[in-house]
Amino acid sequence: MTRRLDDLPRFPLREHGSPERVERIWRRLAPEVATTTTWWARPQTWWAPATLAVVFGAGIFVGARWVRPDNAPVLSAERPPPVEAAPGQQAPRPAPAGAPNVRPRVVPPHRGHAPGVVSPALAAPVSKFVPPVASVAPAATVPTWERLAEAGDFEAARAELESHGGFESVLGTARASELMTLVDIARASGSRRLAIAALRRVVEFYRDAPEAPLAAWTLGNLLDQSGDETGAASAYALYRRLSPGGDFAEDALAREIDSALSLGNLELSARLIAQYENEFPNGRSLEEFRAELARRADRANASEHPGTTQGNDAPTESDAVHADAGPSKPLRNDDAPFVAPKPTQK
Amino acid sequence: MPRPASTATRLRLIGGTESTDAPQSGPSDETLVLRARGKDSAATHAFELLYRRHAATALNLAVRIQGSSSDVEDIVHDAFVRAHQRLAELREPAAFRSWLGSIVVRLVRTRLRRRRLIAVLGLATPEPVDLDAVAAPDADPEVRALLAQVYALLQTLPADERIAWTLRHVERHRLESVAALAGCSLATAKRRIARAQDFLKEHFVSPFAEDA
Repeated sequence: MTRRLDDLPRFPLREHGSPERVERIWRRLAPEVATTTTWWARPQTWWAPATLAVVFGAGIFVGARWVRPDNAPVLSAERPPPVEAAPGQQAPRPAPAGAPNVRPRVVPPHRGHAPGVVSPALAAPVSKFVPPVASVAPAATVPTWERLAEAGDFEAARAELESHGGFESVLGTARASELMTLVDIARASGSRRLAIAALRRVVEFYRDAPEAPLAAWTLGNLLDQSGDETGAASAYALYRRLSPGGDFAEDALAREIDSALSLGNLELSARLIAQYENEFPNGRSLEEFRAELARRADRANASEHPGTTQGNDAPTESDAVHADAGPSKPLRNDDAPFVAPKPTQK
Repeated sequence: MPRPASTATRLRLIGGTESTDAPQSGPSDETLVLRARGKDSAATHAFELLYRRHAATALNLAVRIQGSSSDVEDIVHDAFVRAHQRLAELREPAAFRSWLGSIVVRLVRTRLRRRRLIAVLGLATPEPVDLDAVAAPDADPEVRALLAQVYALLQTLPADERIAWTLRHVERHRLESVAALAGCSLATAKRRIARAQDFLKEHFVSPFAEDA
């Protein structure tokens, strides 16, 4: 066959504009055209919904940005723990109004420092980008006591709270962030009991809140200071559950071990030390814990078999380290026989 | 430096198509467009007259470019909605017909590209040519065969070339009109038509030719 395209005929084409079809499309089109015409016909009112939308959006923006102080930009995932005064030292005074809301970190007590001593190297501001509290516009929905506390005036915040029914009146209804502010106020005024009460509410009722891990950690510290080692250990364990990779995960586990050693629970201690070794193979306290565990195990064996002591009565370096932890408690007799693991060389 | 003529001006100068120009009764397109820009119910009525006058043209254009009647009602509906929304942008109200045609062409081109992309991705089969939708019912069988072959070949071409060739040789538009409807320059329109023509010449087998 010959290929030829230059002489294409005028194609007889089908017409598609049947009246029925045109009418069908118009039935769909007419409402839209009428709506658009109506919209044009009322130019004096079209801006009203637009203005309402803009005002509504601006309200949401302002509310989300300013109403809740805990929504201010924070670079750290967790709030640094509040400053604790070392025994014999004066409690730090609250920051004056307008000062940057920066809190120094606290060195864990078993790191060779006295409990609560603030390391100068760690006392640097968390971030210089944290805006000053004074720059936060006060919102009508923020209680006065909370605003005062956020501004650093804890005494005035405490007074304001007392004038409106006291801590207890707020504890029951406060959100997690407000409870943390109450903790600050309580600690600044020296009331550990109220601080613990507020922290307990955070970890019990707001376990999913971002404040919960820090609350558990702080609760452990306060319970430890108040002598409740079991409660402290539970709080530290809770912190590790809430924030397994948190900044204080290693310290929390170390304090659990401290607590177990202090209580004389060698089985628990051995288990926790094994966990510590597994999770933090380069942990700062690993050798210290191994040595202490071995020493406690020797002591336990010696007390069960008095004739087999091998000169372990001489004080060791480990004894000196834990001398400030108080007198060692006797082993519980109902504990299962414990065989101390041999320290492994890493 | 003189400003280039706007699309609307070019469309006005082109003055519609060769194949579908028909005598109009009643108010002119220009009058109806100006009325339809109003803010009262008369505007809606004027637009309805414009619609009823040009709906058939838009339907035919859509069917012939894409080679099937699927979704053409949606395309025409969308084209008129856009035309109504942008009526104020039409500088030459007398060129409403060509302006509407360019909107239809744009919508069909978008649909063709989307269909081709979906087919390439393997999510759907290529849309077959619906010869009954294109050819007249009383068309000669040989002409139908020719048309079927042309559309089958056109389907393998890029959308722009397919549109340009269809506008020129099926819809019988002038070259300037093809350029305006396709939204390209005259040179580009010629190039597209020529490329499509070369391709068809290479692959086309005329049913009218006698065996050697």
